[in-house]
Amino acid sequence: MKVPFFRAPFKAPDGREGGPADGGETPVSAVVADGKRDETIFTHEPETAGSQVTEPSMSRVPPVKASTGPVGVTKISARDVSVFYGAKQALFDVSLDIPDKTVTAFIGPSGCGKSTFLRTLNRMNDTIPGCKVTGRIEMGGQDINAKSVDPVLLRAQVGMVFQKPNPFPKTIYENVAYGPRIHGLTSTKAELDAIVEASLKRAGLWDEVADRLHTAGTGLSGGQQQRLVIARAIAVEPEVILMDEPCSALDPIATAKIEELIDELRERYCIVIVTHSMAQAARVSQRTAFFHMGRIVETGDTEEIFTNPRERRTLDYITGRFG
Amino acid sequence: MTDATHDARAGRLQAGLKARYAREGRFKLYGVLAVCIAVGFLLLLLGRIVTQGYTAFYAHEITLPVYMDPARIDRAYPQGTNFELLVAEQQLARYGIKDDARGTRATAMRGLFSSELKFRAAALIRENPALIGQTVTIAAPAADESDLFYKGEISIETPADQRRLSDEQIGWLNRLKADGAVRTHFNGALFTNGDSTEPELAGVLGAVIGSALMLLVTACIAIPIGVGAAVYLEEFSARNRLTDLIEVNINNLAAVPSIVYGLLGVAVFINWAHLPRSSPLVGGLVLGLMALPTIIIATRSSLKAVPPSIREAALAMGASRTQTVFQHVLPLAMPGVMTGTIISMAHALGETAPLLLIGMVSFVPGIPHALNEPTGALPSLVYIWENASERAFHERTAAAIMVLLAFMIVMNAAAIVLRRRFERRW
Amino acid sequence: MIWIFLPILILLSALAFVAGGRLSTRRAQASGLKAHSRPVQHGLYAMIWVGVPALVILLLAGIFSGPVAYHALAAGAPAEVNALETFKREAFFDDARRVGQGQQPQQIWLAPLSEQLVVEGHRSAQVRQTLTTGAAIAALVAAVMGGLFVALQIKPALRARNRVEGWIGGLLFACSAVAILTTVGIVFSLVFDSLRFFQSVPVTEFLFGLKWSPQIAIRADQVGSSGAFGAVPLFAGTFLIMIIAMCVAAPVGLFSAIYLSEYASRTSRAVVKPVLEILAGVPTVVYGFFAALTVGPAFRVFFNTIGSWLVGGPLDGVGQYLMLVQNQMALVAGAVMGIMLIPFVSSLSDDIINSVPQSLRDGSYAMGATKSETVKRVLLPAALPGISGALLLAMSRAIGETMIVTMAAGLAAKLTLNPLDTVTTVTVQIVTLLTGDQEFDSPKTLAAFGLGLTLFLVTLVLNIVAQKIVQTYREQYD
Repeated sequence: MKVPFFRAPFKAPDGREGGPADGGETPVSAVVADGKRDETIFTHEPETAGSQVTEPSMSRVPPVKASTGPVGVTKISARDVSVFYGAKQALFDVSLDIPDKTVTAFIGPSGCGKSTFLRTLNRMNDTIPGCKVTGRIEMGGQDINAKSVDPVLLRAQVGMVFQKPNPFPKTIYENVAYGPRIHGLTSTKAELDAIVEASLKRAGLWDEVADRLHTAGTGLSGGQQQRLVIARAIAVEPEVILMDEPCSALDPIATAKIEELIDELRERYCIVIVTHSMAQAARVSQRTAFFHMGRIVETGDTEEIFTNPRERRTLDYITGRFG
Repeated sequence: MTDATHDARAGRLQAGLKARYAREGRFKLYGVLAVCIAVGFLLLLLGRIVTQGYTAFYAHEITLPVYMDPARIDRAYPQGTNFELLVAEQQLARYGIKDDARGTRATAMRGLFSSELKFRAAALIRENPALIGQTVTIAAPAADESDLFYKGEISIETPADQRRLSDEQIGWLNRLKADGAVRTHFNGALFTNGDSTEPELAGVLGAVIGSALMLLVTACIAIPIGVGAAVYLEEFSARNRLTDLIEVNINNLAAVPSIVYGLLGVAVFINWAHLPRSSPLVGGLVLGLMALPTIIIATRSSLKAVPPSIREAALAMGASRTQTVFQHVLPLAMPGVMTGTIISMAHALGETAPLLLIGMVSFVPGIPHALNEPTGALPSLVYIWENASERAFHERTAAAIMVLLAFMIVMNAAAIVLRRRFERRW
Repeated sequence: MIWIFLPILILLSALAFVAGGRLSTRRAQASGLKAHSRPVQHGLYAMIWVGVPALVILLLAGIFSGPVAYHALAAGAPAEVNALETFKREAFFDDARRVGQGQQPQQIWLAPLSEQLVVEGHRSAQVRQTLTTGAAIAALVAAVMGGLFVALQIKPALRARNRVEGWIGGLLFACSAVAILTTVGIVFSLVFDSLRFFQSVPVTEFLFGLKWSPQIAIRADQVGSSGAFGAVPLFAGTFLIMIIAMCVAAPVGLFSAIYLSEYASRTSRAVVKPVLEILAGVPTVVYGFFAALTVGPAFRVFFNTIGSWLVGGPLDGVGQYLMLVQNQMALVAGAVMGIMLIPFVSSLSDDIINSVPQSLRDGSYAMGATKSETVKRVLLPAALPGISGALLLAMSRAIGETMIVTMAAGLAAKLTLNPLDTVTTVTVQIVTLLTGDQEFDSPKTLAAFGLGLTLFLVTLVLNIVAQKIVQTYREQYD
């Protein structure tokens, strides 16, 4: 699977780049510390000499299931982004391109900075006193951190879904209508009704709540609440949707529903999802970025990261050696 | 999204932005205004008190030569002499003013000096009878109206029916001043005397001591019982409906208006138990009951803040429950308890309504020295002086308020210092 | 008189403490066993058993010797004394007590009472002497018996520590019982005297009557002796002033809380919060003084000036009215009470707003809302129950406030909702009724208790409702 325009910031020590040469069966491989490849345990290829070291079991790597397809144009382009909380630095020179109409997953152990980086994409870090962001994040040809860019407008284009569903203590209708109302996107009630209906339909919630639009949003189940929040985010027609561990507070059935929804939404929006579950990243995303200790370790197509990572740390992480 | 709809949407977003930021600015402005109003009121209040009260801190004294006329002074009983009339007539003579048959002018002249004058004259004679027949110089405070005149509060321009000094009296006062008989000095009487019906002699000392005695009783009642109750409720009692009821009860007691406690004091302490009215004992009991719920609540939250690990460590060593509480938990909770206690006491110091009901509306001269005698208290003194008709009491009321506020500031500052220095953040 | 025995009791208790400790050590050594409790605890045990019974006896004597002496004297008093009406008789015996103690009587008694006063004075002194001595002896006996009891008990196996801790626990329980007793006392005293009041004045007239004029004739033939006890004008006055106060306190308090929790920088918060705490700590009598001497005249001058501009023009009637307003407007008392309530409302609202979870704020900001939109559309609606609880508590405080209205509002009970009128409130009337000349049984003074009971019940209901609302609100977000 060739990824023509993506710039891989890290090259493997043996000079390889990109994914495996053939587009068919993906041989899973392991990169040994001394640079040799040992494939004895995993594939049918002949054993190379001198490879007796124990390898992390790739059987623990979650299978990649996300639908592959052409990855879109770059929507967001980050260069050398660093984030400081007071004197403490949380992100170190992160550079990344995020393509449109794709699901990009950020994975990594706890506290590695993936949520922090996610929040820089819609300038939510501005709400934290003492937080400083350096570097350049380009969206639509403009640096979103520039003084001339209004965060209020930015957030109308970049929506966010949080870990714990946080519907406002209002009715379902009012929750979804919140965004269009404050941004003045509609002028008649009919327009607003249409937007609410369309958003709820797109979030896959319409059938369940159409008859109780004016009941409290907090009365829904966890999964329904998260879909409500997604509908709320969609209602302002954003271009990007950021999701910070959206399923970690949900049960498996609700999780499955949300993942299905994410796959549908991918066709219209650029989606960035932070997840601590590698299985989820493998299921849901087309691109994956692995964060560790405030830095990006590796980025690439999901399939490749999970089958043929270039970095030792990535391999260790996805096989469960740490994190 | 097509480009056209994209642009239309961007346009709509942009269009609303200005109004939204205008609303944001207005909203923030309201917040700033509200804070400024609150701060402004405080400054206004304190400023008014200070500007009204600072004049009470100095007073005027008039020094006069007095001829101790042997014809009018009875050697055996000098206090019986009408010194005030004596001095007034002599002063009139000195100014060469003839009096009428009824002696109205002498009365008018008399009104310029405080009644303290006669006490000082009589004291001089009593100590040294040889002064009879001689001329002595006596200094006595100016009467309240004269004092106000010298301070500029009354002037000749005020319409005559709105002042108690006649034009003639004002003329005399000016002459006295021109003669150099008038001296300004610090009004020590304000701090060393008890209450008096004469403003120039009135002081806050009696009320201060009365308040101190009352607070002593309050502290002796509220602190042990309050801390004990809180310790019991927090550490010893089971969590059942009865203790829930007690907790609701205490929260409600904390919010009961203070005048209801006054009614309780009248009905139970004065009418049923026949305790002496207007005494620090009754006042302390009432205020103690009032301060009790707040001390209980403050102590409970300090005890709650001590982490359970401390208790568990002590119990694991074999300490009994009582030993754990008194040797480990309570000492650690002490800073919070003391802060809450001091603030409660400061609050109790300023309470007036219950004191009025138990009888502290009446005039109480002198300095109290027992718990069961009628006394005054600072807040009730402020109330009494505010109702007084003499104008000179206005400035003294403000001065008494300054004394009261000074005590409260000291107490609150002590509580804050205590909190900062000793409070532990677990 | 009884209390001079207190130092003796303290001394005995201290001795018991020392003796108990020594005794326990000695007995432990003699038997060769290790004592369960430390000597200190044995000492405390001894001290409790020696001191407490004696103390109880002294307390009972102190409380009941008065009534007992009174009855003893009354039983043997001459006929003329007993023929006096209750009040006078009590005063007589009170003076007899004073005479017996060598003080001057407080009233002048005419003959033959004045001679009987001396006689009764001696008798009074004698009776009291007997009572005091009897109590002292009883207390001493109790102390000794307690000491003997303890002496028998002390041995190594005695679990003195447990017993002492039992006593301590009992003492602490008694302390918390005081809180209950206080409520019982309040309710009892209010209800008891209110019932006496409602015997003279029916409840319906009190609660619904429109005329409040509590003058009771001192003599039957005295003019101006109507006793109208309809409290509705008082309720109206209280309500009016409370509304005005809330109109000042609620917006200012709420907005300052919003500003401090959402907008203010750390430095401004650090400056403004102490200022608000100072405002909260100023005694209400100071606010009353401020209202009476500064705000009242200022408002009066203001309205008089406006009135003088309007006179002669189209609004002449209004102008004439405005020129006649007095210092003691309801507006003055209400405004100053509002100022007093600002820090109260502000700190409660601050607490409430801060307990709204951050996730709601994040959700709103992530949608692209400005701060004011977040506050107005998300935070305030979410915090609404809590804030209404806070406002109810503030209203309860406004209703119960006494000093500001006593010094700034008037005494004339007028049924009106005009803020420029002089009105009076429930609390002012309570003070007025009880600080006049007190003849305690007349309906005039008992009316104060009726008013007090009403006030207590209303504020109790408000407080309970407010606390319930705030509790439910907090549970929602925990």
